[in-house]
Amino acid sequence: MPMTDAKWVDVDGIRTRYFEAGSGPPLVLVYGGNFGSDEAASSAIVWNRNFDALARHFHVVAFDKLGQGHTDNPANDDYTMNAVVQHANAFIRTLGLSDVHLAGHSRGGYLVCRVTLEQPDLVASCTIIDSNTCAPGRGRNDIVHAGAPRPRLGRECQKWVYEHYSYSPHHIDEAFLDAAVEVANLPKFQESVRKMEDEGLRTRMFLPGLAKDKSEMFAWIRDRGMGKPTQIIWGRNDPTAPLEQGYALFDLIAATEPRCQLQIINRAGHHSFREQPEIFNEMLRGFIQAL
Amino acid sequence: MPMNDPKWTKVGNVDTRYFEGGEGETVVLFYGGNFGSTDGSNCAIAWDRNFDGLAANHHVVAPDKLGQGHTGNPINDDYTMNAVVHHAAAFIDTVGLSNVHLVGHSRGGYLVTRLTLEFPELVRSCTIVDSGTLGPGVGLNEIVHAQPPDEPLSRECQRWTYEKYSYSPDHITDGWLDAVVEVGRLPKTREAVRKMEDEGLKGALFLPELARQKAETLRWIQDRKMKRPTQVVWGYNDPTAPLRQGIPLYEMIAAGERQAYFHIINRAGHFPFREHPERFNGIVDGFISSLN
Repeated sequence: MPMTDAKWVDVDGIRTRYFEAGSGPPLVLVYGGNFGSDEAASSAIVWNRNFDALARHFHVVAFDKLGQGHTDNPANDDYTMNAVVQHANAFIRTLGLSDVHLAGHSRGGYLVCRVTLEQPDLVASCTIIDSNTCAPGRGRNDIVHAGAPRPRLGRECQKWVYEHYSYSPHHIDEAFLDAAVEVANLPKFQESVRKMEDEGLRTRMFLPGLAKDKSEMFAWIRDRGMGKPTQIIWGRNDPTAPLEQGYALFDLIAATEPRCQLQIINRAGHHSFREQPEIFNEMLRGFIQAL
Repeated sequence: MPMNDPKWTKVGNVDTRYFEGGEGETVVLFYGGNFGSTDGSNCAIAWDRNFDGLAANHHVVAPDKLGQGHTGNPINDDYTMNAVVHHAAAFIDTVGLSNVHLVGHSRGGYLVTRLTLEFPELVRSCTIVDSGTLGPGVGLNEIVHAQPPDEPLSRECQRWTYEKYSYSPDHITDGWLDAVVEVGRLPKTREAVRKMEDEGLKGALFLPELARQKAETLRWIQDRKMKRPTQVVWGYNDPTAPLRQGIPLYEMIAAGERQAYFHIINRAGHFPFREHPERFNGIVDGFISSLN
């Protein structure tokens, strides 16, 4: 197994965990989900089926986002997607990376799109994977995950949630679940759940802020364009971010970004990069190397 | 420029021209169009923006199809797509290739699909590029190419035809135009045009047979007979084989074949491999690597 060797860096006062390996052009992987979720506690380990193979061609960096994984919670109760994006910007600068190839999944797809628009000097290309957060239209998580078993964030709950994201559950291995359960048990993670759920920051702050930022991002893409080569990769069988959202996002971006392509993977749900890592890694490599 | 060193082989009784380069797993490239067309006289040189790039990692073979390019015309006036498919299969066999990665564009996309269905023992994988011939629905060539500016198969006519196929005309190089104009002047090309147009084989034989076989092919795909890893590549801006043909084609294939991928390339018309060769080659290289 890869990704056993965590590193730590202080990003503007936020202790941030990351993994890195390989040499070559820098490739930063950004996973999905958000802090204080009561369904699943994703971390950078989500990339453990891709990390080693990609490190043969790239300097791969996978970090825990603000308030997720083993990275500290937001300062001053700033439980917003904008805070997550700014932490990612600062993380890339703190590591001294430039001309970075970004690949982001789900909420991480929104994040890499934002970083590309806000900090073009840092970015060489942008890959958006199965991201209903980034795409026009609405995801179906509320419906697909409505019956998640209790207790919330327990091993069974997280396993069930990831299964219901999937075309086939085979990618949900023990190491992946171990990591997610370990994160869920951290006091700082439980604190973020308390903030988001019990104190209501999710509905008062996080979701309204994201909705506003998202409509601003669409206007930005429409009026100014991505400005960087952009590809979209989608699982054909994604139950929560349906393929129609992927086509709509491609239509939006392709109108203004000439260097744009859409790639679709069969028999893959929301975690297309985990369900079909061989073709996913080659799609990513082929796109970057063709630039 | 690559592809200046043609080879020849006899496939049955048909003299067949092809190009070959590189080492590794074998990739066979089939371009589009058909014999006796008055729009364009395409040939294997259509791949001249991809050949060297692909040959850096693979053994690449690009033949001239039956009755096109410098390859001889059909025997016994068998001006059918079926004859083209069987000539292609016999070519692969004659040159001694096996486990080939097929890449086919337009009518060539139909061809590689038939090869995968009829001769799976020859085939390792299948790549279908902008094929209105195969995609459900009808292509728009008759509309897009309705008003050619000059006499059939002249340089101006062919340039115009390829421009109308394109998002941007930048890929229409003199090298490619020289090659297709040369083919257009060959007596055997004129003979094929006479057969198809003046003797009416296009309307009486070629098109009805192709329509029947296309329906059969799509039925076979729906019956899950496409038993090889398959990818579909499409130009987002294809004016003749619109993306709305590509999407249902991919859906039909993906319903039956586990390893099925779809790639859409922006700012590309009917020839995405010529308009964006690096990106296209990256897609083919990545697909083949992922199978190992």
